[in-house]
Amino acid sequence: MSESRTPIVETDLTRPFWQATKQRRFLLQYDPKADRYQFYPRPISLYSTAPLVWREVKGEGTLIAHTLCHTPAPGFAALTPYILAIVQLAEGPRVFARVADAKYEELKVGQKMRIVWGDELGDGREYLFAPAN
Amino acid sequence: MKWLQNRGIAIVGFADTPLVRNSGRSAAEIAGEVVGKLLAEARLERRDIDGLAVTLAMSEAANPFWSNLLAEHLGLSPRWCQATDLGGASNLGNIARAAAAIQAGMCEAVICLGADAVSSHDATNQTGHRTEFCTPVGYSGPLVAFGLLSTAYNARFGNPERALAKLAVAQRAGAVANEIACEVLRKPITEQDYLASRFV
Repeated sequence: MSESRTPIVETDLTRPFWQATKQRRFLLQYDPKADRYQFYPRPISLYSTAPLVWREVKGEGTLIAHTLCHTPAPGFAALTPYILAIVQLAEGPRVFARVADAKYEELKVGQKMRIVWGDELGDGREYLFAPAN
Repeated sequence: MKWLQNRGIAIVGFADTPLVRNSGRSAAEIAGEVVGKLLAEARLERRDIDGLAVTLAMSEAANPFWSNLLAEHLGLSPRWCQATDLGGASNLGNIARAAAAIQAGMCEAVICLGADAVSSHDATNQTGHRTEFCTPVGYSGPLVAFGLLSTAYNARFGNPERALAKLAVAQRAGAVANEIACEVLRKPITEQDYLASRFV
């Protein structure tokens, strides 16, 4: 199978996020009234009726769950098996992404992780997790 | 939920068809077979049926008139018609919604129908965060979701591998005993088979 990766089709709503990834910056939506962050981007705040703003975050967090994927998504066959994880960022929201630079057997739920950037899409937009040492 | 306490509302008939992979049949054709069996089983005429609740068939997912089309195909004239998009919970959801519709006086006899042919034709098209923030980063389907749930669970409570093996064995035994179960699954397995199976 030489299926290509599902392209990221950004919307008006998510364009600021994807634009920022080109500069390897990770943005979250922030609700200044509720003082809470959210991810993935949504059309309204989950916590109040205040307008949302975008804020850059460091991308540090904690491993919530991980899995070793033997059945690849389109375009991931060459990487298989690969690790996928959910990480809870320090700001609160949980983010789902692939894990780089780690052995599956050595990952432990609760360990510190950080966002790193991959270049497989050609423009540096791929955010990944790696253990934070 | 008071309406669930109304014991006058009941399931009065039941029918099903064999589960066949890649049968090449359409959901409407399967619906015809099962509704025919159901009317005979419940000794009801079409004119007795004034409600229809169907699942949003994956093989027909692009059709915004799916429940209407099925009513026409099946010769039904429901006063209350419903298509339910709760995924695998849609059949149970339809039973609850049909009971609520009967309780509300909208209809008296509802066919709850789950007919699909997704292994022959998959017309689903996921959108939103699923296609923007899951699939492009490597999400390949429910296996990933269950894998993630498993490591989170195991970290808190330990890996219930032997209990899961018992479940798999019991489910297989159920398929073996069930004449309409999918044929490839009508083969018994042992706990050892389960524990030695390949990771997906």
